[in-house]
Amino acid sequence: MVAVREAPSTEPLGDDLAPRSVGSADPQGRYGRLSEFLRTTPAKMLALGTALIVVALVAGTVAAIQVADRQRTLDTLLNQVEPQANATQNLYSSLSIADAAATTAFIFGGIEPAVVRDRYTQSIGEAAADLIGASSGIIATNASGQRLLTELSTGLPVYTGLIETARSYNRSGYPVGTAYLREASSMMQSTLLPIAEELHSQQAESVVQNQDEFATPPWLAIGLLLLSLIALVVGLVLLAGWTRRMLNPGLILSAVAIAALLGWLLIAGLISSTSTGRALEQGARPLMQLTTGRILAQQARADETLGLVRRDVKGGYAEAFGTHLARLEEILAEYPNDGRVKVATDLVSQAAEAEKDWSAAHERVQRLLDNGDWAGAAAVVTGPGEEDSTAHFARADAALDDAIVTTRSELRADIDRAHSTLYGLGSGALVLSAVAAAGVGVGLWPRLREYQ
Amino acid sequence: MTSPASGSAGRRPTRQGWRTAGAVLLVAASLMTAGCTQAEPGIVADTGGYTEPPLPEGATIAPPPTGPPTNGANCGDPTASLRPFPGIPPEPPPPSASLAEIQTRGRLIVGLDTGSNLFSFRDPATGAIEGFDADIARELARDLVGDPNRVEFRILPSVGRIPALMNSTVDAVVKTMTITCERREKVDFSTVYFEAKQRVLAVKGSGITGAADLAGKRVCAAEGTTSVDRIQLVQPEATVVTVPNWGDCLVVLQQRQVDAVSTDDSILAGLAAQDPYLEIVGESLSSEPYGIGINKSDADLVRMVNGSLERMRRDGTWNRIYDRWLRVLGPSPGPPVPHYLD
Repeated sequence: MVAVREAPSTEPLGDDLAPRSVGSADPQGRYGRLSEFLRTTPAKMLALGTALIVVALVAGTVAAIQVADRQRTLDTLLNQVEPQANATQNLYSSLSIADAAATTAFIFGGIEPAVVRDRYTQSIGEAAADLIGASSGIIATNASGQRLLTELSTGLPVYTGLIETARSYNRSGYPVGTAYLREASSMMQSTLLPIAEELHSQQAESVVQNQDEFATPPWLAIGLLLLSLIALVVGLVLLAGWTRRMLNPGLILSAVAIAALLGWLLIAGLISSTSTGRALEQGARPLMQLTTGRILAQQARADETLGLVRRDVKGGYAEAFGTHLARLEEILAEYPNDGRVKVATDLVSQAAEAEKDWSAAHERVQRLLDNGDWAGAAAVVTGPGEEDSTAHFARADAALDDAIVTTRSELRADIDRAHSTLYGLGSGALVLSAVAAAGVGVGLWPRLREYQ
Repeated sequence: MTSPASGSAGRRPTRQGWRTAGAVLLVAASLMTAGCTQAEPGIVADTGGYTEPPLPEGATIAPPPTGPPTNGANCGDPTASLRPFPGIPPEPPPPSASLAEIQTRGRLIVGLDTGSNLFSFRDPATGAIEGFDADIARELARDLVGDPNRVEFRILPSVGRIPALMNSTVDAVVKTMTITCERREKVDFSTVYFEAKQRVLAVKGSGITGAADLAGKRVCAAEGTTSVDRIQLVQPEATVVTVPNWGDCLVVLQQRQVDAVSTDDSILAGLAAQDPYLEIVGESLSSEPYGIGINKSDADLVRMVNGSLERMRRDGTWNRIYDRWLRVLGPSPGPPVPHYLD
């Protein structure tokens, strides 16, 4: 049983009550004092100063990060992505030229002409060198590009092995050489070249993507700096009111620093993003069209020579030639009509002209083949005459190559400009925002001390 | 993050020993303590084995024959052809619209291929198409358009021979073409101009001595030829790999993608002539009478060609062409005796 106490002691209760009343009154007093303090001028100054410093530092840091990001991407673009895209384009060309030379060497009998053999060995050497150029830097970042490069690099020695087998048989007078040549050429046309084409379009695509991100000015940094500047001006006015003094020189220094940074960022950022935009419009996008055009021209040339070597009556090669040439014509016709593109348009019209002549020469080839005149057709396709296919193709290819070189240097100059205008801006942003923060502190410290 | 270095350690110990593995593990550990700040570095893609050579364009495995083998519609003697015009060349044929068309054009268009050594192949030294079939075609041109060099060769894969005749892309096909009743339904043939026997070509010392040894092996034949049907009939256990041209069969044999080639001895001799390590083995699997294929509606051309073949038999041209190309098959057996329908 529990004993019941009739008269409870008051002491513990009193003990209990006393702290409770203190506890409830004390916070009220603390908050009261705090809010009272907050209403005082020094507190307002302290809060204003902290806010101004934070905003200035955040704006400066964001500007520095955005600028550094841009610089890094443009730098990668200039030194890795764009050279890689160019190397993949050269790689496709070298492979295509090598196969055309190997096939042409077999069209007319006997020992292959030295110039054709030299063209083959030169192109194979260039292709192997381009493989290295195309793979530098790709290994670490791009798994699918790496897979394509590996397939090309392992396929190339197999291809050259088959070509040399064909050549030895040819040299010994055995007709099976033709079968080896056909196997090699089929491997090149249906395996290696499509891989090279895919690799190139991947790389060209990533050149465009890399720039697309940075064709607009760094709006976030610009907005934050503007906010910081407005805050500093408002702070100046408020402070003048509280202290009944003239404008605070420290805050003026801060405002000037932020304004300078904003101006710098606006000018450099706008120039940089305009240059990036120009690199896209006048460089990367036309370059994609031009390289596609050159690949189409080389595909059509392969169709033309292979169809002749294999005396294909099913018309598969003639059809493929027509398709490839029609797409080339379309690209060339659209190119200058775009209006905005002003680079290399004269070279493109030269290529278009050569393409038309080539098409006419091919119609002659087709007529000769229809009449059963294979030797006559072979003379038009591989002959040295100025009105023959070889000359027209060579003109179209050279014009496209020149256009690619011109457009590429335009592209690189624009990217370089976009990159170099940002020089020093990243560290400048950090320094100026630090100056602005220091200005706030230096400006407010003497005013705060007046209240101690 | 899996360190790539530990990946290569897993692959290499057999080659480079444990010291390398240990060093690699150390590197891996230091990489991991470094906090893995780098992007995944060079993971070398596993691309499989590199020993398999490519196949010729269009090489496939022939589907097994559907249903029991048909010997084609029974057409009596398939080798019987139309009798020549009364005047054997060089006497001119009677006036005919279809012959006039070829004569006006001034060229005879003949379909063949460049991969049948001894019958039709591209001479590497001159680039010209040469061989037994090519010479027969030139003799036809001599009688038809007056000049053996006014012949234009169109390259046909074996499977393209009948369509080319039916579309009249070519005037005639002179391309080791066996006369069968089945083919006779679509195209017409001249009289027999060569008798071949189907046999087997294998690598010396491979243990293959005939069709019986081909069970479970891979055998090459050109697509659309009677050789494919014959080998599937004689040795159903063999896998038949088909290629567009006979030359491609030599390629796949040398690349060890097939164990043997089976077709007419005339073609096999041409392949064996290019590789001293090959030999023709086994008994004859079938007799293959070659005829010149012509469009079915062009009876005048059939008579004209038969007249030309008759001239070659009589004046010794046939024997001369045989001696030029086919001595490797033995002395000339003399031209095959023609059979006529009318």
